[in-house]
Amino acid sequence: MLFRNGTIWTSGDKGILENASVLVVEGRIQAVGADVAAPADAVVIDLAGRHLTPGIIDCHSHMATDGGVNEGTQAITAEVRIGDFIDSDDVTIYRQLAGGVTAANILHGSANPIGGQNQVIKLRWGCLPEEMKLAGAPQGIKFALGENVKQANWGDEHTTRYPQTRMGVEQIMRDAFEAARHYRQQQHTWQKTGRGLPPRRDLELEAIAEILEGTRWIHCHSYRQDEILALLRTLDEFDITIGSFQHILEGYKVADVMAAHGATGSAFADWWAYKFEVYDAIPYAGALMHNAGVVVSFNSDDRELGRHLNQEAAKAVKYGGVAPHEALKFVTLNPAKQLRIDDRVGSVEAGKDADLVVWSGDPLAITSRVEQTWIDGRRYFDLEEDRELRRRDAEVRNTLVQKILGSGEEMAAEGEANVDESDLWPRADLFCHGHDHGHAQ
Amino acid sequence: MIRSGGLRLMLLGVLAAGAMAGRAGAHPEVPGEAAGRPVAITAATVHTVSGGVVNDATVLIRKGRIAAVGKDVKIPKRAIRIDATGKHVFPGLFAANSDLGLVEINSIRATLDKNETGSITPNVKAWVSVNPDSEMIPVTRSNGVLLALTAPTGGLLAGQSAVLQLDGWTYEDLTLKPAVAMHVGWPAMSPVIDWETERSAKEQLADRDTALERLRGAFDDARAYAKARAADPATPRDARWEAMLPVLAGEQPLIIDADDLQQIQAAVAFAVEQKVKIIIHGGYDAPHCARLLKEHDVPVIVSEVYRLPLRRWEPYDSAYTVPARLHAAGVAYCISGGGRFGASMLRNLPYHAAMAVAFGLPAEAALEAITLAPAEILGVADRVGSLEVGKDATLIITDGDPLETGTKVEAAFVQGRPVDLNDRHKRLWKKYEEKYRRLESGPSR
Repeated sequence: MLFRNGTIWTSGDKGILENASVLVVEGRIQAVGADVAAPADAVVIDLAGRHLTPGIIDCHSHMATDGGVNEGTQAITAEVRIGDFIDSDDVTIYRQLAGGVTAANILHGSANPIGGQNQVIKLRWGCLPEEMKLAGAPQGIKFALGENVKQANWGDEHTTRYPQTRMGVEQIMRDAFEAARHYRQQQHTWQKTGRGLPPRRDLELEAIAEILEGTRWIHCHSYRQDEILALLRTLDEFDITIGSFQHILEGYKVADVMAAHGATGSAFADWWAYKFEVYDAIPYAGALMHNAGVVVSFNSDDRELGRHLNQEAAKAVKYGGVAPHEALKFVTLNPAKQLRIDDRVGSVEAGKDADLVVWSGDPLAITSRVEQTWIDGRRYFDLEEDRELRRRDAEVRNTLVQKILGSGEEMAAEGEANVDESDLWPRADLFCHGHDHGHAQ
Repeated sequence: MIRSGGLRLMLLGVLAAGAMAGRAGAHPEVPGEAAGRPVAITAATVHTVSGGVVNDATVLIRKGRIAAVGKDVKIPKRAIRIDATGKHVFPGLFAANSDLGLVEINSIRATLDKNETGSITPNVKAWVSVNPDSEMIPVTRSNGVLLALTAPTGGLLAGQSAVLQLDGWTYEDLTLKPAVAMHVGWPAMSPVIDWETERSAKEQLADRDTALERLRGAFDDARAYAKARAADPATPRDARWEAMLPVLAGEQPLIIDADDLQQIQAAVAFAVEQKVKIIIHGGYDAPHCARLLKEHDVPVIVSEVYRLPLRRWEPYDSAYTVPARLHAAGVAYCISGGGRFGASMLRNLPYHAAMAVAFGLPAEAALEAITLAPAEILGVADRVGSLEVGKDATLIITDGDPLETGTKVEAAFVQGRPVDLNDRHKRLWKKYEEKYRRLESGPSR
């Protein structure tokens, strides 16, 4: 399959290529450039000057979950897994495809210092839950710091769960790592000596031990510079490299320390002031961290915002003057790096998955629209097809309504609505999202 | 940058004063000072909104008002000249609804002044609680938003809103027009069934009916009060019913929060029944009852464009196309910049308008929807909203189209006074740029 005659934003070393082509073979990108030869039987898609970019990757999402994402009953719940309840029917998936999103990091919420395990998915709308998962994506886990985990905005009845301060948060992380280290030591000792009973398998400590062993990446909700610094110092002591800091709105204050550790930052482009710990959040944060050598992404953590992350990337140009091609990486290559999946996705380069978006114009312009979204060389969203589907659905709907009206059945009394069970599922991070509970984000 | 010595000197003066002001809870941006003589912005592309775009034109400001706009403007000798070659002049952008000045940090109760207790509080006035030193204000105007309605929320009759101009020492300076509208939270007409809602469908319907009775009751009581006062001036004054008199007289509109079709229809029926003027705020389903709205002269404030479909089966872009559909249907409407984080995100108002353009709204209509249209709907079009002789010189000078993300607002004026475009974010940005500059160049710490 050949996409030809387009402006290709590669997110790779080739930068932006005008009048260029992308050759896709069996779901992978085989060649990118001005003079790409295509086999005679290739399906040719003429971009006619339109823009093509890598698929957008949302490094912080809660879509496609069919229940609460906060096992917030305890301070540490490392054993729970988002991957156990991927809801492939969540219409958010389709809506985000319409915004060019092709992959997302589905995270546990931020109700506790050590939350559950994440799941990286591709937005293969129409596929089954297991097929949504990005096979081979390294495992991760949600950590969280600050106001949410110390229950600062949960109301006066939530004042006893440890920890209640940032001091306690720093200590509980250490305790957890020490416990996991001891757990592994016990296992090793038993394996070596065979003496006594084998240590009981502990799913919580297993997950934390994997962090110590470097096979599970931490994605840590964070805001203030003190908590960022404190966590990094703790991780340094345990020889752990963090996967990513999430939100990280004061990361710009300690970007040098982040860069030295090798920490990446996945932020909001311009959110601020929704709670005290983000009063110093600034839209220049992305540019400041980027300039300090930190790999920066902009994420959504929001079902609506996730539909126009390209526009968020444009804010890195506006605030701090990041070059447009670099800014687009904030929502393509950089989140792929943060999730350690950049060998597969994140750029339009030979060998990578054909996760591509066709835009009506400059992808950083608000007035541009997504026309097509491709994953693994398959088209999952198409503007024309969407119009057709609307016509079909309207027709079906109308037919059904007419059938009901013509049935002679009595109307249900007001208030006797049939309950769609799916309406009863929460689809949000309670402690991340508004709902006017006063503990937004 | 603006190449006028005059403006630069004026702006520098303002900034120097700001730097000296220091920080004591107040933002250090000092309100602008009138020049004391005419100001001429020359050689600009002037987007008047009301009268098209004029290239290579002059905007002459005198005593805070626009004295002339056009190509052949005679510039007084003593005028301060601002050479705006290659720049654009627009009316200040206008957010038709917000909680600006009433909320600093949403999660901290001590900083919230937008929701009075009780469901019938028509007497409360948003403008008397506006904090002129809110950090939101400079951040908002940095992106060209110079005008905003600020309104109370909560309950049935939440209170009264005002149009603010975003520069001044006190709430009185900021208030362009007080008592602009009375705000009404319309109850949900159909039961909400979701995981958060504990009340049964039947209970919710009973709640709805009670709420509507209470709302109607408030109007009945206010009318009875008016009659009693007219009959006997010794009747004790009641602040709540006194506040309702301009509404009953048809002088002050109700701004009714309503998204759902049934809510909008019920609100219009209520307006007809009560013989009062209404404006719909929210307006998600408004395109579905365009005829009704036009028939009864009901304008719509589209609360936000960045919004999910309200129903699972609706097209993914159903919220994005609301302005285009209202425009095509000929309904009077404007676009506001609402969303989950309130005033802190108000600076993104032009992007809501731009998103509507991506989904079918003509670009000129989008600009009008965040300038002149809100001024007309909120009854301040005699003062602001377009660049016309006699209106306030509340305007911005930019390097491009404000609907494009990259566009920078290079200067702004509120009633002819230059606005300090520094803000909390730029201050922190500069502070930490300095940290990294030192790390790179200075001796190691």
